[in-house]
Amino acid sequence: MKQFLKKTWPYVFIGIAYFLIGEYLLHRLNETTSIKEVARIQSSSKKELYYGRQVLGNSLPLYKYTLFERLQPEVLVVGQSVTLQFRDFVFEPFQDNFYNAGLMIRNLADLNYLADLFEQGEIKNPRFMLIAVDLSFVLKKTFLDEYSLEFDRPEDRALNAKSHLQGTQKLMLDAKLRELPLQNWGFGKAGMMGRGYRNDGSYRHLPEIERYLIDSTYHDGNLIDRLKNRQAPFIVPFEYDPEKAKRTMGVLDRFTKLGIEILLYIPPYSDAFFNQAMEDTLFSGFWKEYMSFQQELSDKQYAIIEFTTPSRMGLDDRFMVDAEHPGEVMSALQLKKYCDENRQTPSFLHHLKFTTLDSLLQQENTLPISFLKDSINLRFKSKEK
Amino acid sequence: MFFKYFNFFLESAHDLLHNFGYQGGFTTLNIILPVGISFYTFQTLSYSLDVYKGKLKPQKDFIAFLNYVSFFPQLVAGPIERAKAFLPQFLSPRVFSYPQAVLGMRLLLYGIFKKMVVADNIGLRVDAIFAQPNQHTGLELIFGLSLFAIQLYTDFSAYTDIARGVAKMLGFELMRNFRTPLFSKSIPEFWTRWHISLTTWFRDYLFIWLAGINKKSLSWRIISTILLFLIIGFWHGANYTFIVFGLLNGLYFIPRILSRKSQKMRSLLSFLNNNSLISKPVVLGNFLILSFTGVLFRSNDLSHASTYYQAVLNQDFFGLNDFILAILPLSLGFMIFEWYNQKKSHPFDLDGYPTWLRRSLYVIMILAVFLFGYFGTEPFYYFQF
Repeated sequence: MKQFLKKTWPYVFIGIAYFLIGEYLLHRLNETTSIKEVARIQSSSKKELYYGRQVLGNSLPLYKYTLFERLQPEVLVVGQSVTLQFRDFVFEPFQDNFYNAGLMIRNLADLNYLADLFEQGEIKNPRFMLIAVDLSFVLKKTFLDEYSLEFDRPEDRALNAKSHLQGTQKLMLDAKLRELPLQNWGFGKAGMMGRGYRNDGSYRHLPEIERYLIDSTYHDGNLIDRLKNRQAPFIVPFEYDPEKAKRTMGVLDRFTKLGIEILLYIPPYSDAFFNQAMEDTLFSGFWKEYMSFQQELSDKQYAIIEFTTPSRMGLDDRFMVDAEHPGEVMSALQLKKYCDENRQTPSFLHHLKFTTLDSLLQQENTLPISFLKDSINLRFKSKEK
Repeated sequence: MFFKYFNFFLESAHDLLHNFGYQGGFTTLNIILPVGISFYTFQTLSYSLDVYKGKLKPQKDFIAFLNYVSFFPQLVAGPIERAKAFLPQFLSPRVFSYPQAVLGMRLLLYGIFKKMVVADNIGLRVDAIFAQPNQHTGLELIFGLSLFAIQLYTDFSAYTDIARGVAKMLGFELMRNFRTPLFSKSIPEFWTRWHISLTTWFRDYLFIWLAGINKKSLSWRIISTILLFLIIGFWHGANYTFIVFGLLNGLYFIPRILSRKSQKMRSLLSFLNNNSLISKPVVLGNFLILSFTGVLFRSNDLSHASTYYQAVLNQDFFGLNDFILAILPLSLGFMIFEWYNQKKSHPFDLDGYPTWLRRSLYVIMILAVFLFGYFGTEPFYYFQF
């Protein structure tokens, strides 16, 4: 036995050494900070910090839920990635009681679960909610419906040994260790470079902003190609589901009955994409029914930021991060426009002031896709020099 | 057996009655089958039959019997051990054996390497190809089915190697389950080299009795062989794909059975097997027959298999995407390694190798597992049976 252990030890050591090197690198990249710890720090920090694990994976709905549960804000934004550009200061003076939980809710069942949490008193009711009702809420078939925040919440990958082995493998094979970020701006490699989720839950699109600083043009993110190739979210059958629409309204009613003021948000598309897409019969057929759904919501007296495109707001496509994601300036302008035109409902909107927003809009640093408000601006300024 | 096949027979009966106008519904069992149910059923059956036939004395040591049935290294996917060879091992005292432990570690390493590096990486490609056969060229589809044959072999034999390796380290000897079956020159030969513990079980407990009913009749021998393979196919799962798979394999035996009474046929088969120029292409041809038949094994249902076969014929033939191309060196390298070692007691029998080469191989394989192994969720293929 002794001889056997003596002979096999060097091989076991290879495995241990590999594991230790991997753990060191993951730790060096701030990838191993648990979501609980990230939530604790982000929810109490005044400094802008970014959460973005590039190696281990973000366990996103869990991350968002953990912060949402911790903060239990008065002002809550929920929906898909299209809502991620709503910043806290846009909801001034509630910026300190705000959370953008975009991507926590991925489908109707998740929204229903959120209503359950409020009804059961597990989470304090927010005073106001902005809910993005994107097309997946009325699509007959979407892969998003396979997820469940209630039953299938992802585990924290920082606490999973298998994820660590996968992460180490990725690091070793990528072999880009010379690019280790030195900045301590956040959690995870991407977060340390300034790409990720801010304390308020909104997302900082660093690569897109950097690209904009170089070429100042609009990029569609291949959405039109996805439509042509019938790839997600345009997977056939790309059909409107009236039953699902009815159920969506049922869930929205539950929020209203709880006394939560809600503002619905139908996300915009870029003009370039939308004009081309409307020539596609699959898209235009669905779109007609989706717009009837929007009308139905409006007829039922729901407050709603209706579908728009940049040109309809006097802007251009450069205000979009890509064909389907509005930039933070456009998102803010959409809300402000709605408030200017419909101050009466929801009454919560009476309290909003847009002082910070107005001043930022005047600043030279503000780009169509970003306010460049964060501390990271310094990086761009130094680049410009 | 009831739990495994109840739903299949009920659904088949329902489909049949439906064709005759039956409109009623039916209820299937919604249960999770115990892991490895088929394997320990065979072990306990062999014990009971051997005792019944007087080949084995009833075991009075109940603990030893329970250990025989539930020996954890081979519980889930074999080898299916006979009580006569395996049960006595639980009764004798075990002492640590250095050479056995080294052999065990070697098998363990080879099994882990085969599973994580070869089988799982091939499996990712196979899954992608089988998921959408119509999206691939004819060449990709042929690679897809050939890769599946390699995946199935490496996956299943990896489990056996790991089981045998662990058993050896614990002082137990499990039977050999594979003898490089993909290099067989005919389908009958393949079945003597593939999943040996299952085929010999069926031979000893079913086929000898079945064929013995009418020993002199050639047609009865053909029928009993087909019946045997139908049962082997059906053992794999309650699905028509396995029945057709079994039927085809039974039919492949016909030339060999006919050769029993035809000198010409015997000479032809002998020529194909023994001529040094012809025998290698024969191995390749046999591999392709196996791979084409294996489509049935991998498909969800007959219509899926039929779509695959049609796509091979109807799609444009040339073109190979990078994702598939990337796995070819590994697959080919592995096959070449096994080809050169096929005459040995095990392909990873390194006894004749110089020490430095043997140790280098160990290090390379350990590093390969960490760097290229698949750490996602990919259970052993045979766990489902």
